[in-house]
Amino acid sequence: MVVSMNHHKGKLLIFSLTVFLVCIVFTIKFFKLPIPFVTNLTATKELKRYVGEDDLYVKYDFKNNSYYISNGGNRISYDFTENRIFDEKLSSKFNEHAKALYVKFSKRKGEARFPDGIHLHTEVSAKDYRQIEQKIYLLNIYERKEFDSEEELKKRMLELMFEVIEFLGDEFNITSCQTNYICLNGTFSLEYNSRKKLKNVSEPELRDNIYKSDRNSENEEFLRWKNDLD
Amino acid sequence: MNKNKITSNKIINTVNLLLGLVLVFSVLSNVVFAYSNDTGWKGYAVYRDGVITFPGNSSGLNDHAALMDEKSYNDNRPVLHAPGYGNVVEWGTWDEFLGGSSFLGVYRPKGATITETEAKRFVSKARQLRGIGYNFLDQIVYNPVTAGTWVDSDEIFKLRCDGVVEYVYEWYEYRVGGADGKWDITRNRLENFWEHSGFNITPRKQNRSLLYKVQSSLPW
Repeated sequence: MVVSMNHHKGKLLIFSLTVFLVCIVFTIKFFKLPIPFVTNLTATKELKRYVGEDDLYVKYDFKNNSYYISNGGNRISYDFTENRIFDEKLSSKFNEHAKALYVKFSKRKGEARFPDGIHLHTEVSAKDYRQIEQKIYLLNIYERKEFDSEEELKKRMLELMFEVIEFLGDEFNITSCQTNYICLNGTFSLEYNSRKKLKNVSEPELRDNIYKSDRNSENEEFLRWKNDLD
Repeated sequence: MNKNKITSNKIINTVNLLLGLVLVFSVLSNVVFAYSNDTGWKGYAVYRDGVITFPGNSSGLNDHAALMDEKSYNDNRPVLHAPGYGNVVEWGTWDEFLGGSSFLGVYRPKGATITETEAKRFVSKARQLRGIGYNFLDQIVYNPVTAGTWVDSDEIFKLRCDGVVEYVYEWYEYRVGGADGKWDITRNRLENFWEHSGFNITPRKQNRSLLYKVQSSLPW
């Protein structure tokens, strides 16, 4: 009887431990949390390989869920969820180049008013450092235009965004964007993060990710712009 | 005699004309100086999302706050912020601040006009916070024993990113968050401390309801 009770308790303990472990694994997997020691070791290995130095002090950045080092004031971080590396110096180099090209673009005259400046954020694949992925910030494009349908509006918004991307040329690999388009219909935003070139993402897919901002602050900004036009 | 009088009148008129010109020039230069924007976006708060993200929610559980230390985001290390654990309040590059997340906009305290004087005061106060360590659980951690009526920057042990913005604005009596009578984070009182502890106020609450959004475009 006692042996059976102990056996039962043992089974219950094993079952509870299994459930607990499954929950932990599920939480780590779902929230893409760092696994103690394991992700740290992977990140350290990847950062050492990238920098080419063995003596690195790698820290965890919980805000961005990544590991980073400060290399002479230059931040280099490893995103273990996407297996990507952000090198501040490299990103800045691309950004400066894009901004210089954009100055020429912004001088062009057209119906739409493009922002005074853009920002380009660059990351490289940890597998292949030649493979870069970039996010463009186009905030904001203004146009004194009213559309009958939202489809038409979204099409125009994408057209304007791609005008800039195409002007910058093929030396950039823009895979993500944050774009705001302000027209007489309101403020529309597109936030799209991908790993493939934006040019290769289907238009319906991009259009589905454009939404009208209904927050008061955006409405106020829109009304200020509209009042200035009148 | 008459000739002398005419000459002296001419001199007086010329002097008057010159003085008049100086006066007009002085008034004009004052007007031009008053309206010239030498500070750009200095002293404004900026926010981005993407703090503690998980699949299906790229905007994350919270946002990150910083204070503009330079005129434009194009300047070198334009923000002052508390980046996170293992770091102190420090200048940061725009890329480091944004981290590939979404930019949320430029903000100022409600009811405040950020004049050149105000901008200089905000930046100068924010710079005093450099070197203070990061804290996740409370906006501010300070020594209540050494602090007098007000919590000076050298009495602060730790700050969260939204604490940097809140401390700077509230030091100059621009209310950001907190209930009546205990909203001032810079006041050394237990009820004021509790009001700013935990997640009563967060970077997300600051930009969504406590501050005034000036623009959603980058601070050029």
